[in-house]
Amino acid sequence: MLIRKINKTKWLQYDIINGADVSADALTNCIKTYNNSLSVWEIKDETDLEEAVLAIVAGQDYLEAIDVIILDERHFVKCQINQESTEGRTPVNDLKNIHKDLCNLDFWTLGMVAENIVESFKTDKVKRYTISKLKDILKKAIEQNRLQVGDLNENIQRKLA
Amino acid sequence: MEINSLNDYSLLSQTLIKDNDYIKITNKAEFIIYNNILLNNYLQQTDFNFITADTNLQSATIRIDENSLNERRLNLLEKNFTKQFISYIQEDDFEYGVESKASSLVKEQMKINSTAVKDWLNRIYINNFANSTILIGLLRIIARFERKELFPIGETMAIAALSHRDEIVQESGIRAFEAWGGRSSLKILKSIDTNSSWVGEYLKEVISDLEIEYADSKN
Repeated sequence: MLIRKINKTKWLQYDIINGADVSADALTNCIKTYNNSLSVWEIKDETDLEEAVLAIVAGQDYLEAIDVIILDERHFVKCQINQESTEGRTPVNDLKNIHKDLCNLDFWTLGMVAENIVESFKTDKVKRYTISKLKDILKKAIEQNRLQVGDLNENIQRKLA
Repeated sequence: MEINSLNDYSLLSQTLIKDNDYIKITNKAEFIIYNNILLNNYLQQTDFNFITADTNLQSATIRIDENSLNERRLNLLEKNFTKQFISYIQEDDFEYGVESKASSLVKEQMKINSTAVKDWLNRIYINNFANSTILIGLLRIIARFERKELFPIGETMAIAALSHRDEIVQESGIRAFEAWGGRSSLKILKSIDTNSSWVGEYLKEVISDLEIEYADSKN
């Protein structure tokens, strides 16, 4: 399974769950590529979802509620979208290696990514993590010594204090 | 000119300080240090007509008109920063959790004059209440400050957002109260409703989180 942070509101501009097209904002903002690649985090199954969330939130500047989407990796294999393991930008060292890039994307394959996202919306695979839940995840990681408070952005440190 | 003593806001005579005048303050009182910082900030500017000083070297006073100071700062913000700020909101690829140009701009200006910035943001909010994109951008920024830094303007903006017809504006208002936390946020959130199912779910979750956090708190 592949996890990506998204902006839910961009996707819900149109009624994609009932068949409407994806908005341009969702395509151009939410799945914006860099070097034709999109960042995702790989987990084994949904019981590990918080690992991906930890990897994401620990590297952020602010503690704000986020939405993550669970994507079916088989869909990308079927569409022949290349995946490459790259070191994740997260201060949680043991999670750096669960990061992947969906790479060599183009007009068509990016569209397939968008389709996969719409499918995840339809099957209720979009999860929102509120600030409170994110705090719990971070505090647990700190207690387990997987993360040091000092590795977090000052804004987040203040929220945890 | 050299200032040797200071009386709070008493004015012996008035002289306009002109561009490139050098003012040296020798009294060590805290009030003077405060004013010294203000003067240093404005020595680079060309129009000093809100600061007047007595050029009598034996006993001089400085009177700084705070109303003029704030009004001047507000005019500067409106003239020099509004367009840029709105363009940052409209063009920025905003991402929750990640620093944005718009919030960096506001942070910088808050360090200079928070009173003027609050007034400035409030005006932008009121003038653009029909523009969801700008409202959402503003609400995202105010949520990144502590409640007390932008109180009461921030709170008022967030409360107004909760009854906006655009569900994403509503959500942005809820996000602000979620970020600020506290019993007062909980009270406000418990008294609102929304027609949007996903916003309603989020609202319920935030209320639940705050109820758990403040269940035993006296705050």
